[in-house]
Amino acid sequence: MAIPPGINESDFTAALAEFENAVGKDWVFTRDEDTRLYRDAFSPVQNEPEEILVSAAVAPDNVEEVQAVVRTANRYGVPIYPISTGRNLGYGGSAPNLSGSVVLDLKRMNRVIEVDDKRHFAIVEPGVSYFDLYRYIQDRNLKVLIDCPDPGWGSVVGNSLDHGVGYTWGLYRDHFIAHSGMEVVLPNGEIMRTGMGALPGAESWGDYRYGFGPHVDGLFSQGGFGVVTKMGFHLMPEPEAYLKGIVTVPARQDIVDLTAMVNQLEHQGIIGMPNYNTPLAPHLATPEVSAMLSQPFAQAAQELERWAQGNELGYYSVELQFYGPRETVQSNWRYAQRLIGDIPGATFETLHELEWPIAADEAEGLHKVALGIPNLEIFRLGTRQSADTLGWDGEMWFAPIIPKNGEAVLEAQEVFTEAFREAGMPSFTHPASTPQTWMYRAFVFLMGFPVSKVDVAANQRQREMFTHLANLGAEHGWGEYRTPPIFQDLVMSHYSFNDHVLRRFSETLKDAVDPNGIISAGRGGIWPRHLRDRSA
Amino acid sequence: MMDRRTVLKLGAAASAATLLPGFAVGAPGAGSGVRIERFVFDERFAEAIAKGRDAGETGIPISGVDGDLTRLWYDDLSLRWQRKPMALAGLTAEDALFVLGTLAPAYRMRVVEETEWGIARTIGPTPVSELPLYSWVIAPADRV
Repeated sequence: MAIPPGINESDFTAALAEFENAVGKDWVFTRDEDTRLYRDAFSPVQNEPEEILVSAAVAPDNVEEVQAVVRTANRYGVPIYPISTGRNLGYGGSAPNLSGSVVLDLKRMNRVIEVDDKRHFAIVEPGVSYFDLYRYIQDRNLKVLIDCPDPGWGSVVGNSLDHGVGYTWGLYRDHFIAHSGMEVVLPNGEIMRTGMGALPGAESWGDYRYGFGPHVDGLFSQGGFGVVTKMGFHLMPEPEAYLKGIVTVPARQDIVDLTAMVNQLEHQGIIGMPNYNTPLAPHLATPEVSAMLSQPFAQAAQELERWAQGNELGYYSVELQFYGPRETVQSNWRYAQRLIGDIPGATFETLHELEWPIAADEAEGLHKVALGIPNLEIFRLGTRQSADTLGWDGEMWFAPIIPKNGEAVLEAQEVFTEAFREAGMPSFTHPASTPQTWMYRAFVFLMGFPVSKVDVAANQRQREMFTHLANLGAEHGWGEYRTPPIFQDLVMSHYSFNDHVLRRFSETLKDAVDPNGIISAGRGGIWPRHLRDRSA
Repeated sequence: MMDRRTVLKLGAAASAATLLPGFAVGAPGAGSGVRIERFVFDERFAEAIAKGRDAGETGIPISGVDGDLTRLWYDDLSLRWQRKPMALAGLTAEDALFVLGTLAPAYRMRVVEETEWGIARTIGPTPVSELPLYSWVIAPADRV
């Protein structure tokens, strides 16, 4: 059995005994075959000395048990790392930042407290997955839509706390922004509620997120200031109709006008999440196009555009999703065509038209999460990206935020593609790469770096490139919104305005709120005082 | 999902005794000592369909998947696992094993046996590709 850092064996044994008293012997895990289940399945340092492993795990059933565990941890100085369902794959899974931590596994706290389909909110515990919430809604025929990520097995609370995102409309798909009030067990074991939850007798927890006074909820996202045991979320009312149309434009520079127009649509609430892509994607691996792309960026871009136009393929596409009354979605689609029709050569096609209730069969073959239907399709090997082929066992996501405009897309294409070329590595980007649009007000220039369970040298190369791109991106003002644990110190170091005052301020708060540094040490690049040197 | 009738029709003959290396499906207490309550086969591969048919003939409930576990999970296993853990075996590509193996620990179950069975070619309307198949057992932690 591993021992957490800074703890002697007898204290750890005593702490484990208290954990058992609190939650029951069956729910404290110390055997290797149990603790190894908390390894990050997609760890980029698997089987290397840097791999983050846990010493034990504790699974409380309710908030009182969480309080007891936290008080014990605080008394003995045992580092604990709360997880909800622990499926944050690509960003660390269930593994903590500090090796030897005890995982506080909240999977048993899986109660849906309330769903209101007249005021459109839900209040849930951390062990509630998107599947669980969806089932609760379906079983009761409630008229609300959930916004879920790919895949739907993750925790509604956990995803939100790591700034997770989804695929539907406006702010609903930014899962932290969509939250409304929390219940948190603080490092000293006290329970705090935020927003309207802080007002005894208030029935508006799920309605109004701020309550009164400082809005402290952000401290509990990507941070180690407490254990979140309940959260409220705004939900989208089930719309009447859904329409998806696709727009294709012919030139590389068209992305500038296209993004401006799509922003105009989205920021008025006319469309849901737009999905940018390139019709060139199926051709990029062909020998002819590969040869083009191996050239210096400017030449590759020029020849690719000429080739695309010669073959009348279009250069970029964007899928537009409309939610609302059936008359309105049709009308809004017509308006989008009128607006974007100003781009020479733009073409339009209606892809899908549906009305709720949408049966499972109707959604087959469609992007189900855009319809609020959780699924596991993303794991089907045939649907994986080319970088995630056999021989690779997962991926770590490189997720820099760039401005939501075409100029930034063009710049990111060039900066990152040239970086791969200079490094002599196959590029994950090219002159037609498009951003992810999960955030309502920003683009993510996402790349999935493959990781292997067995090829240590390959993992090292991928980590070096990841680090290089993170540094390079920071030089251009692009920072990651979320990252695996081994890169969190690096990424926080990039958010350095005024001599890293954001980190220093957070550390000051950490020292005050969690003086023994027991909760999620190192999460978000914020270490407790006694471990701070290790991240320098 | 492919139903039992289709599997029985499609499957090639094979002996249930050779169904999985290391244990005999449907024989409580045999092999690894796990009584299998469900056999999951990958309906993209003829070899896996055949094994599914064999398992079905021994009376074990079977489920076909095509790499997407959504329906099997949402309509079936998640409901059963909430009531009580169960032992299941399978012959699938890596995707199905990964998903079930990741879901299992939340229900006090885990992958207790995993063997690379060999490379197989996909059948059906999707482009043909070759993938390794895995023979596996997921079982409650206290039953192994």
